[in-house]
Amino acid sequence: MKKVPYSVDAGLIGGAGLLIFICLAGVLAPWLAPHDPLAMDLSNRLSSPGWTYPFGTDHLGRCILSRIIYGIRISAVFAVLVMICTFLISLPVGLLTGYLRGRTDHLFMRFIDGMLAIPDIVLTIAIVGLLGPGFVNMAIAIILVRWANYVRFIRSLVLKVRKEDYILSARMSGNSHLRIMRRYILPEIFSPLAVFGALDTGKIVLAMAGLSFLGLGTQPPTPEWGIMLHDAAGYFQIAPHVMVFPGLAIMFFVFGCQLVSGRFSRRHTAAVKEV
Amino acid sequence: MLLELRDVSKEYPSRTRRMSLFKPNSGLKAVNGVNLAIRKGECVGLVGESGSGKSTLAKLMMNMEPVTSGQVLLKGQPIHERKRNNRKTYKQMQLVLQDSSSSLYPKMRVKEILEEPLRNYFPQEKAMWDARCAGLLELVDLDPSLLSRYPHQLSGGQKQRVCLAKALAVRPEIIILDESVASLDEPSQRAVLAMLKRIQKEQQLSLLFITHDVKSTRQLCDRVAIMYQGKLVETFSGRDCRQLQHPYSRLLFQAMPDESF
Ligand SMILES: Nc1ncnc2c1ncn2[C@@H]1O[C@H](COP(=O)(O)OP(=O)(O)O)[C@@H](O)[C@H]1O
Ligand SMILES: [Mg+2]
Repeated sequence: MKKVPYSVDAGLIGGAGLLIFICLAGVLAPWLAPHDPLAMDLSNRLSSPGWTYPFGTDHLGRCILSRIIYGIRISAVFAVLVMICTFLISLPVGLLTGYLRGRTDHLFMRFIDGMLAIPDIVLTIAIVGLLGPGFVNMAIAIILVRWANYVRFIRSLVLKVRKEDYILSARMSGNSHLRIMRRYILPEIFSPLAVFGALDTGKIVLAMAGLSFLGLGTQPPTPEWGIMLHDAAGYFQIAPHVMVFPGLAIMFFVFGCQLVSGRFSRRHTAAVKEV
Repeated sequence: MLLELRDVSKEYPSRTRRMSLFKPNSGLKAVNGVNLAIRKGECVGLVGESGSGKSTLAKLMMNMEPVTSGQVLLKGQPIHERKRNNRKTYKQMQLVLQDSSSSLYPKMRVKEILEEPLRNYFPQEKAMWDARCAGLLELVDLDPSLLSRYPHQLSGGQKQRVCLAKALAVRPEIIILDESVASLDEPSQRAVLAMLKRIQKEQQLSLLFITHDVKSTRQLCDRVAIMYQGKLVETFSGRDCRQLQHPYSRLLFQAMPDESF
């Protein structure tokens, strides 16, 4: 058991600060947003940034800043829900296969290898295509695609811990396998999992925005970043700001997640290659 | 016979790549045809240089590794059986692992560590757990104030004693000690050995005392088995080292002053 000293660095503080700022803005949306995100003002379509509409308006005359701020709520809640569901599936699978090994583990890993061979985005689009577009279906597709990745990662962490002497020692104290997983293995793998989760939040938001942009995810008029990009695509040449601001919002969120987890994950490079 | 090993062998697959399809890849024989029997209340020493397969043999006895061939019988029951619940083995036999600092879970206090075997093996004595924990520490000559410490706050010798207390908590019939005093300095070695002898007498406990150092066996053991390159080359019970047959065991005892046995 080595403890690595965490030096506080600029990247970590910057990333965490950015995320906290974004989340706060989402929580305080009703007070921060200058307008109703759904209110249309058809006499003010595609107006440039100015005093009344700081980021301008879209093709229906809705305030872009307000829509971005309300969009935080949808993106963040969605990302967290998707992550919880993914962990609910992959944590038991990863723990059991990594701890018990054996033939089931072998079969599972071959299956997951096969799944991971298909590019994420292709598989996601295929699943949404089958289920039909929509918010819930998009969530299901993202979970179905990402869980394999999670299992792979959790299993690699478990493989490392299960070889420790204290697991043998705990077995001799009469603990059941279930109790060892709960009491010994889970606490040991918790912090690398949290880091992994932080990084993945960014990826989930990106996947959601991508699907919505393709018209497969959130449906209008929900204020969501991907759908805003989708709506703005037709007007990009006459009013670029309609597309630039939602794009920047996505970029900053993902950037924040990357900064936070990148600082930690360098210390937790687990042997993912091991099968 | 409490514990009996019948022709136990363990082969680890060698790391090098298999060169020929037809020739079998000969692995490394860590343990090779070992026969050994331990009676109730007896203390047996197992001596051998490092790498001779002592720790591997200890793990085979606990069914922590599968055997390549042979049998381990605990009270006449083979322990390497598919259907057998390992907990039954652990209730009667405990192993104190070689590396005490990695065999204590770093996120648990000493009290929690000692309570686990009590909780799992003696659930009906819940009211006694606290007293038992303190009693166990006293048995291994530790201060009860250490109960609230984490393993990283203990010294090497203290960790070793906590491991021993944890094994004693199960109230087993046999304890295997894998180089349990090797990492200690001379005075604490002597203290731990004296303590072991006392506990062994009091509880009619059998001990298998594994060490690379012949000297520490003379204080404690009724019988000494000598292991060399995976094989048990000699077992002798007498106090007389002139009856030794194998050249390796002669070499081992030559360095020792005569009055020792
Ligand atoms: N898990 C393992 N895989 C492969 N070889 C092993 C393994 N464990 C032990 N060995 C080998 O078996 C031999 C005996 O090791 P060990 O039982 O630890 O010796 P000792 O405890 O007497 O020092 C050594 O040569 C060691 O390299
Ligand atoms: Mg050893």
